[in-house]
Amino acid sequence: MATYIRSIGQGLKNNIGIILLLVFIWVLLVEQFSLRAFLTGLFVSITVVFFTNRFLLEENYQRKYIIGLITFLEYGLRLFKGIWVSGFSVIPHILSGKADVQIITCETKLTDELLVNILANSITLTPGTVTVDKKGSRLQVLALNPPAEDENARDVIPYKLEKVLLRYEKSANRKA
Amino acid sequence: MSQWITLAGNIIIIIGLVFMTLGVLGIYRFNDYFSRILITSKVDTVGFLTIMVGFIIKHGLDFFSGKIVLIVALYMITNPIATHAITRSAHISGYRIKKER
Amino acid sequence: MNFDEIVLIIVALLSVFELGRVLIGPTIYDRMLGFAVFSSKVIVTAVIIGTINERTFFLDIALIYGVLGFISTIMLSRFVERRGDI
Repeated sequence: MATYIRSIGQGLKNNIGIILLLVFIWVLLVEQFSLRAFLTGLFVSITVVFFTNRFLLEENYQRKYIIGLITFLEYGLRLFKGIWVSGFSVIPHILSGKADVQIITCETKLTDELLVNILANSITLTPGTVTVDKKGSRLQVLALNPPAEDENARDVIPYKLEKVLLRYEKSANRKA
Repeated sequence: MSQWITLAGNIIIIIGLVFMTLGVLGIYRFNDYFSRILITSKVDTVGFLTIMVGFIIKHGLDFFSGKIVLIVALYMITNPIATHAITRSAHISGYRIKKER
Repeated sequence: MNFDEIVLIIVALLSVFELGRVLIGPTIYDRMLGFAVFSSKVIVTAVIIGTINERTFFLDIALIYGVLGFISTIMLSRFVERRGDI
């Protein structure tokens, strides 16, 4: 019994970041800065994290799904800027009404599943490219103005975003 | 000072409205489905994000803009998954316009 | 007339004009695309109404509508992709 309780405490201590994030969202939804709202949010988020850890994942939640605060902020700002710039570059195609679209197969340098998924979702979010299918680290991308036959097929991937994720993957591998 | 902040918010909202109008205009201009989803739906996303940034600037720092940040985070997570699901369904069902490589 | 009310009227006109793609779309994917674009317009409309009335519960409505539109789009595309077998 004692070891059981100690393992629960260890599991909650490993997930302190995600619990604080959930408490912040709870306070935002209730719209009060009071002790009662904070305690209720703490109770609810500890229950949620405990049950998810125990019955759904059977693994550490935070190490599997959180990519680090600084990496997250830098990635979000770069993604926002990329969306804006591509949005301006798409406008002449709308006004003229002509488009040349094609499906291209290309390959990323990332190997981790979660990071490849994040990269594919941000490729979909920028105007001009949509990810159609993914198998391992090979992506099928539907692209506007595709690179010609003799050019590099990797031109459809945003290089700067991939570089941020590559740096994070290397540091995580060294730590583990 | 506060009227300058309101003016900046209004200008950003007008830019977002222009993007959204271009998206709705483009939905009638193309002939095949792939061009439509590639250009139109994504320009509409740019308009949505810009209008939300304008409202956050106009409200300042309170619970209202915090909730708008929650809505933007939810939209940025769920919107690419929905677009990918529709396009993958069209691709698997055999909708082709050109030879792929 | 206020600035926010003019923005509200423009967004409402755009959403009505956009529903034509749902009516005339040749393939079923065009109709699903029209529905996805329409649901983002509804979220913007709810946020503007909350700004005009100074009430925050309209934002909860926008949050719930986002979740519902996402789930219905995913379920419809799965239904079409597997030809009726979810």
